[in-house]
Amino acid sequence: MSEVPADRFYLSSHEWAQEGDDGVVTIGITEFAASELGELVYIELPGEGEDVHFEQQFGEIESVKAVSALNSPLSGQVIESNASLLDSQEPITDSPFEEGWMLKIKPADDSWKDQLMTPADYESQLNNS
Amino acid sequence: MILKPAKIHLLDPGPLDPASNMALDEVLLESEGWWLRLTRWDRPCVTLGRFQSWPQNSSDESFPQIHPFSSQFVSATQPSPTSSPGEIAESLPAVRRVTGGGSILHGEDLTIAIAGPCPSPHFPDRSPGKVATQISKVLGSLLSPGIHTRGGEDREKEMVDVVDCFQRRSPSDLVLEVDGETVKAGGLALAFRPGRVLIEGSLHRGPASRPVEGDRSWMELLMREWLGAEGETAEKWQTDLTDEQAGRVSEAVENRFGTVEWNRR
Repeated sequence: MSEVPADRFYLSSHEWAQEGDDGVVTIGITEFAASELGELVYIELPGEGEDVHFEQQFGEIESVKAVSALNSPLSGQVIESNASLLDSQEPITDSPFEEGWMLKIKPADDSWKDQLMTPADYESQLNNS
Repeated sequence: MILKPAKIHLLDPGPLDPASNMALDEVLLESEGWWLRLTRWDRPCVTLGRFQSWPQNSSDESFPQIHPFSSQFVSATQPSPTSSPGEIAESLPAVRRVTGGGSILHGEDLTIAIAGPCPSPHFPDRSPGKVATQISKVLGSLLSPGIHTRGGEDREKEMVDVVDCFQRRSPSDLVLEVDGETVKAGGLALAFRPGRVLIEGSLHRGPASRPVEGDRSWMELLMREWLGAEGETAEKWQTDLTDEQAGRVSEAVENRFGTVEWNRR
């Protein structure tokens, strides 16, 4: 059973979002998504200052000859991108909820959590898939 | 159990230029329903994987791998010793795909594309490895006897620096045993977008023993045997792009597939 941390929110396409004390939201993909993707070889992420939009593609990741879209769990502006992932994608697989974070985002509004799944809802989705 | 999808489209728009071909595949990835497409080329060309690097100059040792007919092309069209590597590279017919994997030389292969919903009854799992192996087994069962899915462990990381798709090894490869050696007869590359998957396939005609005139029959077999479509559920072959499709292809070529920024990264 994949880990589903209780301190963040989820998108049905297996991205997570965690709010920090400063209101900045960190996003990444879940352990389930990372395990499904298999061995990762490339990733492309947006740079600082770029806008991302709820449920819209913010990047791409390649594994097993397949390029998969990464979807943003909220709208806002990128204030930091995890550039170390461009050189090595292993943290995404080994530590998807911590070292494998992808973007830090300044939310466009305060209601971003309303559109996302709770940990219980996401866990239920995993159990039913 | 036969699972019947609601809508299946068979598409054979005839030979297109490399950029339009790859743009059309992306249009199908973003369209609704199932699409089975025959991809035909108006010239020999190379397609590159989404994240492959284009060699910095033509003396790069990977250059002939990424573009097998580059030396012939260059000698025929660029006799001037003053031509810069950039000018030479610029003139080569190569286009970047939205799918992953290595570079493929097209022109004499059987190139196909399959686009459809995922997850779905036919692709219940979005895992790239599982989808690739699943469709490889389906294709293998419909090709010549002896062609089968390679199987084994995923070694994707080891294959990254191998430029040519047909020199790479992947569990989803279609392979054939020839004189005790395993020969790659077909390769697949995939792209996932929300709710959809695109599978591009290149099958060697030699080992596959599929004459060009039989391509449509083979795709119809794929439609019946795998997608479970009966005669009345299948549409006739679409040979011309709709105005909407043509417009989307033109836009994608202009903005990406026909640009240096996209193809020569």
